[in-house]
Amino acid sequence: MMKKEKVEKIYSLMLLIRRTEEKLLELFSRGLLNGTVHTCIGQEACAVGVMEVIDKEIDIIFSNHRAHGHFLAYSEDVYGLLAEVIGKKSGLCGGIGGSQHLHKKNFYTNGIQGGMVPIALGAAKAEKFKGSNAIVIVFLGDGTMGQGVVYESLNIASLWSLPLLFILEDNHYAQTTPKKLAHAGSFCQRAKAFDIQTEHIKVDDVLKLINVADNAVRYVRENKKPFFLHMETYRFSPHSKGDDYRNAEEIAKFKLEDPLIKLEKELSKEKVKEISENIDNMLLSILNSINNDNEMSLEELLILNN
Amino acid sequence: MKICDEINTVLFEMMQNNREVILIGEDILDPYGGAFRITKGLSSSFPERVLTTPISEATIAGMSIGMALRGLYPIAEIMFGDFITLCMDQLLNHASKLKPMYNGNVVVPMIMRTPMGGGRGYGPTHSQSLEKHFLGIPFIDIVAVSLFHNVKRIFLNAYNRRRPVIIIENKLLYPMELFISSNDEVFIENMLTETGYCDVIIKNYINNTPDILIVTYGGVSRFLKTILRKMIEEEIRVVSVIIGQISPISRKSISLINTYANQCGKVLILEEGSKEFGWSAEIQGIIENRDIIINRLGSVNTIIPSNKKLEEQVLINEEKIINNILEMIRI
Repeated sequence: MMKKEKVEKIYSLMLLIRRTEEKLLELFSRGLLNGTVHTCIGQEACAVGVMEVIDKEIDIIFSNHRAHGHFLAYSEDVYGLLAEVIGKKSGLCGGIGGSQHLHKKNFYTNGIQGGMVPIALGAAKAEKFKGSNAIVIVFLGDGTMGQGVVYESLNIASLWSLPLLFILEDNHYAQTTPKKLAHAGSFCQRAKAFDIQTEHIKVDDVLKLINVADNAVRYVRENKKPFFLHMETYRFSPHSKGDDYRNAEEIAKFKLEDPLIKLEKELSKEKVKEISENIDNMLLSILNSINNDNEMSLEELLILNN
Repeated sequence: MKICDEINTVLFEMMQNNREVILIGEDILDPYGGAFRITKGLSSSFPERVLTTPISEATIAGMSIGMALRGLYPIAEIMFGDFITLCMDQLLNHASKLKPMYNGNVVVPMIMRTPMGGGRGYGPTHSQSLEKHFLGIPFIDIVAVSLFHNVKRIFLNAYNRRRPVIIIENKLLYPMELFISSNDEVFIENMLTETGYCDVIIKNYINNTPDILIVTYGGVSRFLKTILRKMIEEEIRVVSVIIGQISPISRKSISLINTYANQCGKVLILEEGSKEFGWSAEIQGIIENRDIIINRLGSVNTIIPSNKKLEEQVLINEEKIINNILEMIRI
């Protein structure tokens, strides 16, 4: 792919994630969403950068409570995601899972911090046992690094040489708690203590990130060994809703480094306008259609008990 | 064959017949073969498929789920049932939920087996019967090995269920011989449930109405052979239903318990864990006839002491059960 086409594609995906999540926040404000949403506005580059370099046919992704971006970058299934979060039967999981519990093909998320890490480890063991060429990617946040199972899993991943790529999306805050109140030492040093190769990158340029992620993915696939990729990023939106106590100046400062805006500068104004309008139209048409979709009945839910 | 050997044999057969069966747990490799030697020989026969882990119970559970999601059939051993609390998040928030929360699009076929129970002086953290904390979790079968259950059938049915199954093995049963055929004093019958597990009915009489129904599961079954014999001497006709799948309770089990409860009018429900908020309360709740006299007996709701005399006093035992039966018959 030519660089220009690639930039268009990456930009479209990042903007798709941002617009979709902005739409979700709007629906939430209008009382149209049951529950809550954790958006990744500002962190889209992490999702898109990683999904750009994996083999979507075979690789396996485990994500967490903040998974909309990972999911859209993996599948581009906007309809399935929006219908799921809105609670329709046409959603990915029939509206049972909602925002934090998504599944499609080889993509799995859950809402327990760190809970998916040993499961990703088991999946990596299964792929190695089967002799497949697949790798497993697990997304963690800086907050998740407080969980014990993460270290049990780092240990076994290294000990058993499993094809597992740990991606730490460090947005500096666990809900409202800043890193400095939660963590001693350095995250990469923790992984290194288990003899796991690490890399640290500040996410301000998605194209740079793609190269780093590509190297990490190749390393895991070729060596059948774990790798720990620490991505320093920032979310512009609150953790979920109405729980933002961060310094406004700090947020403004990070917004100046928005990877989406940085990438936008590579494209013509006309192209940006065209991509943006296409996305907005698509979202409107999808939401109109979802409006008419059915919801699951209790009887249908209880069939799952069998 | 001893119950420990029965389990070892069925594990061997499952591994031999199904290449996707993986054993995972702590200290399970030969020559040791696990703290209770249940996996002895298996790592020699299937070196690639017996995985010994660090002391990381939560990750043993999590890895099992991950392997199950991706097409393998893990059988995890938790060395002592007391350690299963470390797996609670993985079992409750992951193993049980993945299938229903993904709208049935995935399955998590796996077994977690673990020894529970006291009586060996291991003290407060190696003697408990903690299964009650897992009862009632939807989408997980909890099944108990007893003196009277065909062990192989329990494991093979668990395998066929294609869902997470926790198998509770009372550690005092391990050295005992299975008792699955009737003799002159104890008559045994198996009743299949709709989920494919079995309840076992044992009686100390033929062709007559029973005086009392005993409902129990798992390790407590070890007392029943003697108790039923002793009750013959007292001319008390006892029928006992030993439940195989203890949670969720099957419709067939509910109907079986109600049938005998109505015949007897008196029901004694036994469990080795403390009865407070326990399994026996749930069984009491499913008995429909409110005129039936019901009593529940478990171990004393306190810590399980290492001291031999104190441990005996705390745990449920034959004498306590017999005293309860006699008291209820006198009513």
